[in-house]
Amino acid sequence: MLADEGVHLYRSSSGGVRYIDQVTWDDEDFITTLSRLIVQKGNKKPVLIVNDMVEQHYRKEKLPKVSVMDKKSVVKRRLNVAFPNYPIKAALKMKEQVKGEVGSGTYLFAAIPQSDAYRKTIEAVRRSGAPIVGLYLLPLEGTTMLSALAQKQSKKTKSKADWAIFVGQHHGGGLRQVVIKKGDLALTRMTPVVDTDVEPDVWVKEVTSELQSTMSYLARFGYKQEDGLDIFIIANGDSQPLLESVIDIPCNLHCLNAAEAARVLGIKVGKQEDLRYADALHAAWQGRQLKFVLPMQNKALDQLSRPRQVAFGVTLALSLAAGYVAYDNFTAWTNLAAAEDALERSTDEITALKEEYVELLRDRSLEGYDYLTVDKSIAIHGELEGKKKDLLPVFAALGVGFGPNVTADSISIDLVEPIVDEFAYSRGFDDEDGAAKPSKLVNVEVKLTFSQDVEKDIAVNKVTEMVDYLKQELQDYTIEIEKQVGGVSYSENFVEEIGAPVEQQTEGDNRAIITLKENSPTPSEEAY
Amino acid sequence: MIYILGVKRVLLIVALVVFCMAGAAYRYVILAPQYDAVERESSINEGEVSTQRGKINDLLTNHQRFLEQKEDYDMLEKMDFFNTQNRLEARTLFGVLRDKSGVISVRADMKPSEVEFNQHAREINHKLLKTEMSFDVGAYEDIEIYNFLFLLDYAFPGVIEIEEFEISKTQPVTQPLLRKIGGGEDVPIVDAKIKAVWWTLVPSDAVEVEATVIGEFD
Repeated sequence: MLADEGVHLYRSSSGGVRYIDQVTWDDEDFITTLSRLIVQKGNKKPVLIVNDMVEQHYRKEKLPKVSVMDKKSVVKRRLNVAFPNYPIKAALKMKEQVKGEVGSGTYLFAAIPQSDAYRKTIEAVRRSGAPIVGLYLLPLEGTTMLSALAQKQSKKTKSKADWAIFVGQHHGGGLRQVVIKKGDLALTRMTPVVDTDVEPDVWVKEVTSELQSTMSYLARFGYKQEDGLDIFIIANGDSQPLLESVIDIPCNLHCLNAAEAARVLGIKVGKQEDLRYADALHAAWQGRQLKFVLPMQNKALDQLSRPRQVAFGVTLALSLAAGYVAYDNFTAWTNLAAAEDALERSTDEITALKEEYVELLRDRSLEGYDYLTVDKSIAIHGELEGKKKDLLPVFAALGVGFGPNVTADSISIDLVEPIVDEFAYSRGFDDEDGAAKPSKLVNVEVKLTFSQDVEKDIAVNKVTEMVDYLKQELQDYTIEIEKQVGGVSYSENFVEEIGAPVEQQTEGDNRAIITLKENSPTPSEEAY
Repeated sequence: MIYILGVKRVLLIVALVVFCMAGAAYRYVILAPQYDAVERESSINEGEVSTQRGKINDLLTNHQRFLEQKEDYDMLEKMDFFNTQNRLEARTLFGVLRDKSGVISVRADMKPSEVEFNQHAREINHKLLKTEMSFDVGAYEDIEIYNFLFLLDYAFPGVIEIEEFEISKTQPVTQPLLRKIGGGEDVPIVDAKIKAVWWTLVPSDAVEVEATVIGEFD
């Protein structure tokens, strides 16, 4: 906290704030001392700079109506016009809305000079290496605390006031007064008062005097008694009754010490040596804020804070990435270890199964016999035998059919491939290894020649009888007379010459040809 | 930058970057390929485990069948199903067939042996040997031809698959012919042409491939 006499350093944590030390501006080793305190006592935590010096400039301005696109540049221009010689400045749009007002609203322009004190503070923070949260003005940031206080107290007293005044003395003696109207900063004053708790009546007298002065200003700011007024004064227990008896301003007066005020706000100020100071309360309130009312813009601060913010973000992102990489590596390594374990187990299992198989084979095999060879050899032999055609039934049928007096000129047997059925595969045929190829079909052609002495009628009858017998015996065959003796079958050209000598008759007349064709089996028969 | 951020912060960032890069490299250059390799090997092992289990189950469930098959296997051995199709041995056998069947003459023609693909044979490290053969057989009567055919089918090693058979009279039986035969001359009256395929199962390292006409038996 930057005060007129020097810097007050507080450390804010969940347990409250702790006042670390003060470094005065005239300290020759100001920068070294402050940076050392930030490092050693503050543990290089992010630094929040709150300006509580007297020299703070505020100006309230109404902006003409401009488009949304131009508003930012207009505000910036007006801010520069308002404070041309102050490099540290910012603008805040106020909440108050005047009925019938035409324009882009009312803005509060704030500025502070870039003093030697400021430069020394920034340099000290830079040297410490701690990140900078930002630079803020205490009166402006204090408005949120005052609003919160007023709101909490109004719930208790059930009276709502538009105006509120916060009065608190800071380390170094300055009395800071912050006045808000409906949440907006209306006025702030910093005045020196006696810094003592030995003579409370003196302190009360001075505080009351300053408060009266403030009240005289308020009338100029449009304060009316009926608007309602809450006054919060941070004081120790001895001064509180005196204040309550002395102050005769029509208002809701709340005299509290810092701890009591913190309790109302729901924050902790921690263990303080003297609860009459209000700066610890401000520090505790600001320290727990995530969003601030008005960050002050300044190039020197940006040059320092931006890289550190970026570096902080980068460090955070890299830390997260490193964490993920570590986690991912750990997961991958765990998976690899698990996979290696599984591999080792399966390898052991294979070895065990192989041993078991060999043992089983040894137990169950017979000497000189290999189980697989026996099984597969029989399977192959079965396939070959299955393909083979047994011709003996054909020969036997022909032999009986011919009888003792007839002999064939020739018997021709062909084994032909059956007509391939393109859908055979789906019905069970598998020629991948020749295991279930369809069997060949037997085609037989028998040629007979009867002696010239045999009557044609007798020969024809004999052939017919033979064929009838063969049809009866070989039911899987289609048996036909290709050529009948004397050409008397319906499929031949018949020529008969009556009265011609026997020797002139054609030799072919005594011949007969019988064909036997094995029928194609149905796929189901073939498959089984 | 070091002036603003400080040496420690810069070193921390550099260390984090190095850690992330090294970690990512270790993860994707070393761990990932190792994991893939182990997974591949595991997958192969799983297949092998399944195969071994199948073999054991097969052995357990088919043991009774094996005992029954043993006799059939003995029969196959007796039938000389595992004959290596040795040409000299075949030559001797053709002579025996001629003598036993009573045919007058046998002319055998054996084509070069071939190996027929058979999955079962491959599984037991054997090969299915195939030889195409053709015979010209001369005899007095057709019954002798049928005898020859019967013996070829049932007494020859391995499996004989008849593909073609043709039997015909070569000449009419006349008195002069009968006199010739009576005089001790071997004059065939019936002639047969037989085409067959000879199948045997032989160990893979015992395949003989060259084959030619091996002789005539008159």
